[in-house]
Amino acid sequence: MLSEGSSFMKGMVMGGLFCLLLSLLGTFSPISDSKTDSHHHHHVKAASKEELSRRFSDSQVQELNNQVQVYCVIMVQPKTLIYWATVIETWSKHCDKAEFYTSESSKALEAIDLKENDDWARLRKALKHAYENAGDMRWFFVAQPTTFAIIENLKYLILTKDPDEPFYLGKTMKSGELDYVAYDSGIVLSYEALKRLINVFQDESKCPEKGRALWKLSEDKQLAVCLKYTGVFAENGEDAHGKGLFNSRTVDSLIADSIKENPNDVVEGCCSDLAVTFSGMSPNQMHVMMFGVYRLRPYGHDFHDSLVFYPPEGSDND
Amino acid sequence: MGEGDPQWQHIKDVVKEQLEKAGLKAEGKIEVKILTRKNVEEDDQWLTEEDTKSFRELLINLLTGGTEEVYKEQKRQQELENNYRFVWGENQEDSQSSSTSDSDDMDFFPFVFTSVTVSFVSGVWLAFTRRRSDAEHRDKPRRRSFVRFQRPRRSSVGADPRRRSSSCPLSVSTCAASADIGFSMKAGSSRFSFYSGFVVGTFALYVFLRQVWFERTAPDTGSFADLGEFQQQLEEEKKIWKKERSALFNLKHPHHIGEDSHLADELYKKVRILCWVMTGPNNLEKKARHVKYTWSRHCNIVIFMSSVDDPDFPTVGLGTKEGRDQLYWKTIRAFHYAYEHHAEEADWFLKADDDTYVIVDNLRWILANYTAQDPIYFGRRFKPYAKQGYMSGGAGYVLSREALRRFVEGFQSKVCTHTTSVEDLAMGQCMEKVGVKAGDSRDSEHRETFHPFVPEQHLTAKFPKSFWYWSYCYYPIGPQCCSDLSVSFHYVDAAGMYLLEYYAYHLRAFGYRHRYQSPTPKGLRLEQSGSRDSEKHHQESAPEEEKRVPADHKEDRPPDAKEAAEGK
Repeated sequence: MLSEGSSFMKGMVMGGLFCLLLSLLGTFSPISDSKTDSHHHHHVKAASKEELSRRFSDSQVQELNNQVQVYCVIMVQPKTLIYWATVIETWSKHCDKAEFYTSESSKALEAIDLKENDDWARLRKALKHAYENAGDMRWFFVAQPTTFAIIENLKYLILTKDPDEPFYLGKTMKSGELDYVAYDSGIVLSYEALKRLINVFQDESKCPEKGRALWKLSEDKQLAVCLKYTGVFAENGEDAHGKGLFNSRTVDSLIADSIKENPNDVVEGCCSDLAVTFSGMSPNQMHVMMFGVYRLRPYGHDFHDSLVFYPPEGSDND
Repeated sequence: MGEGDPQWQHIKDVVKEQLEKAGLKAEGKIEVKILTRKNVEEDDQWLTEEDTKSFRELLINLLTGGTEEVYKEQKRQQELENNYRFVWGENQEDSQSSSTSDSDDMDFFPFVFTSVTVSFVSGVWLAFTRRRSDAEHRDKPRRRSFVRFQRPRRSSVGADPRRRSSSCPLSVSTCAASADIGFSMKAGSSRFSFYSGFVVGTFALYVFLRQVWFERTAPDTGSFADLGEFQQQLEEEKKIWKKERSALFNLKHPHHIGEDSHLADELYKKVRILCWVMTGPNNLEKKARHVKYTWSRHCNIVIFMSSVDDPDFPTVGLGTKEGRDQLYWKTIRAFHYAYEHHAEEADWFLKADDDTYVIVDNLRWILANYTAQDPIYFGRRFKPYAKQGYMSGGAGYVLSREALRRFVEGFQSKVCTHTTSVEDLAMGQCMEKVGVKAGDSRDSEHRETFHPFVPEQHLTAKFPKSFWYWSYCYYPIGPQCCSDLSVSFHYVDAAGMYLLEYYAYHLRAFGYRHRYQSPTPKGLRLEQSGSRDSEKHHQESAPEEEKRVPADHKEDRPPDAKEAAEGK
C-alpha cells in the first residue's frame, strides 16, 4: 500500500518536472527565432541642448550654423501644379537654395526641365545637376511637392554631423533585406553620400539607368540599392527622445491615430515638436501648417535655442 | 439581356456572394429580374449605404423567414452577457487580487480532487489485487525495498535480484525511478500507480502554470484594459485639477521640457481667468472632453456649463433646456453662477463654446494691458445692431470683473432683460446699456486675434464679397487676417483641438526668430528688471504704444470716455 502511494508521489513529481521542462523548452524556441529575425536599425538623433552646450562653445555653434546650408531638390511635374505652386509659396523659401526639377516644362511655373518621363532617370539627372551646382552647399534634401518640410528643424538634426561623412537620412523603411529612405517624407544626403552616388551612377552593372529587375523598383528603393554598393546605409532621423522626425503621413491622420491610441495624451503621443517633414497634405493644410509652425505661438513661452535662423526676405506668411 | 450573358452571371454571382456573406447558403435557383425605368430623363439614383444595408436586411429576412433577425438578436444578447461576465468576473478577481493563492486553489480544486480520487481508487484496486495473491512474503521484501529507497546507500542482497529482474521497457529515467522504488515481481501495480501519478503531476502543474501565465497576460485583454485606463485617467486628472464646487481649479500650468516660460507664469498669476464653456449633456464626450484635455488646462479655473448637473465631468446644471433658443438664458445664468461663486477668485471671465479653441496665454497678453476694475470686455467685434458693436459669441468673449458685476446688476435692476435668444447680440446690447466698453482686441499690427472660423478658412478661403462676414467686421481686415498671437478659433472639431494644441504649443521651427516681436504688456513692463528681452521690448514697445493710442482714441465716442482714459 505504502509503496503504491510512494510510487504515485514519485510519478507526480516526475510528471511535474516533465511539464516544467516542456514549458521551458517551449519558451526558449521563440527567443532564438527572434534573434535571427532582428535587424539593425540605424538611428540618427538630433543633439540635445545639453549635448550641444557640452561639446561646442557658443561661437562654434554659430560657425556650424553658418556652414549648414541645405540645397533643396524638389521633383515636380505639371500634373501636380497646385502642389508645386504651394511649395513655392511656403516652405521652400526657407531652403538656402531651392531648385525645382520637372519632367516637362510648364508655362505657369519655372523649373529646370529635365525632359525625362522615367522617374528614376529623372531623379538621377536632378541629383547630378544638384551635385554639379552645389557650390558651397554640403547638404541635399530631396522632396516631392506633396511634402512639407521645416528646414530649420532639418538643420538642427544635421548640425553636428560632418558632411564629408556619408549620410543618407529620412524615414527608413524595410523591403525584404533592403533598408531604404521613403521618398515622400524627404531624403537627406550629405555631400559625401551624393559624391559616391554620382560616381556609382556611371557603373551600369551596379546602378543601371533603366532599372535592373524584371519589375520596376520605385526610385527610393533604387537609390538605396545604388548607395548600398558605395557603402552608404539608410538611417532613421529621430529627435532627442527617439521620436521619428520624418513623417510620410499628414498631421491630421497622425493626430487621429493618436486620439485612438493615447486618448489621454494625444498631442504628446503623436508627433515630435521638432518634426522635419509631413506628407500628403492638401495645399490649404500646408498654408495652415506654415502659420502654425512659423507664426502661431503662445505668449511668454521662450526657447532659448542655441541657434538663430532669420526669416527669409520677401515673404509675409512666415 | 439573355441567360447566357456574362453580366447576368456576374449579377448572380454577386447576389450569391452577398447571401453567403450574410451566412446563408446560396443554394437552389437564383432568379434575377431587371426592372427598367420608363422615362429616360430622370437621373439615376443610387441607394445610399444605409439604404442598401436595410434593403439587404429586408431581402434576407424575406428569404429566411425572419430567423436572421432572431439570430442577430441572440448574438447581441450573448455578446452583452459575455461583456458583463468579463467585467464583473474581472472585478471579482480584482477584489481578491491580494489573495491570489485563493483563486489558484479555486481552479486547482477540481484537478486536485480528481487526482486524489484517481490515486485513491488506484490504491484501493491495488490493495484489492494484492490481497488476492499470496502477498505475505511480498510485503516484507517490499517494505524492505521501501526502506531501501529511504536509505539508498544500504544495499541488501535480497533486493538486488529483484531489481535486476524487473523489466525496463521504458526510458532510462523511469527505469531508474522504478529501480529506486524497487518494483517487485508484481510490478504492474506500482508501475500503474507511478504512471498515474506521473500523468496527474503533469496535468496539475500544467494547470498551475497556465493559471500563472493567464494572470500575467489578463490585463491586456478587453474591458479589463478599459477599467485600468479609466483608473489611470482619474489619477492623471487628480494631478491636473482640483475639483471643487463643480469647477476645476488648475493645479499646474502646463509646461514644456526645455522651455523658459517665466513670462507666461508671471501672467498666469497676475491675470487670473475663469473660463466657462457652454456645452450640453450630449456633447460631453464628443466635444467638451477635448476642450478639457487641451486648452482649458491653461485657464486658472474652468467650469463646464450644461443644462444638467454632472458631478463626474464635472458640469454645472443651469436649469435650462437645450437648444439654440436657450443660448441667452444659459449665458445669463452661467455668468450669474460665475459671479455668485467665483467673483473674487478671478479677474476676467471668458465665455467659450465647446467648439472654440482658445490660446489662453495670448488672451492674458491682451488683458494684461487692463485691470479687473475696468468696465470693458473683449472679443471679435462685429458692427451691426449695436452702436458700439458686439462680440461674436462663437469666437468667445471675456468680461472684466467690473463688467461682470455690472451685467449682474443690470439684470437685478431690470436695465438688462432677455431681449433675444441671439446670445451675443443680446449680450452686446446689455453691455452697452450698463456702460461697459467694447474693447479693441487687435494686436499692435492691427491684426485680429479672436476668430469666428477655423484657421484654414481665415488663411486660405477667398470669401465672396457678398459674404456677410465682410459687412459684419467692425475693423477693416488688413492683408494679414490673423495675429501671430491669435486668441481663439471657432467651429473646431475634436481632432482640430489637438491639432491646434500641437501647432500652438508644440510644433515649432528650431531657433526661428519670429518676424513679429510682440511688445511686453503694460502689466508686466513695470516689473521687468534688467533682462535683455525686456529692455529690447521697452524700446520696441514705446513706438508700439503710440500706435495703439490713436486706434483707441478713434473709438472714444461713447459717453464713458473717462473710464476709457482710466483703462488706458
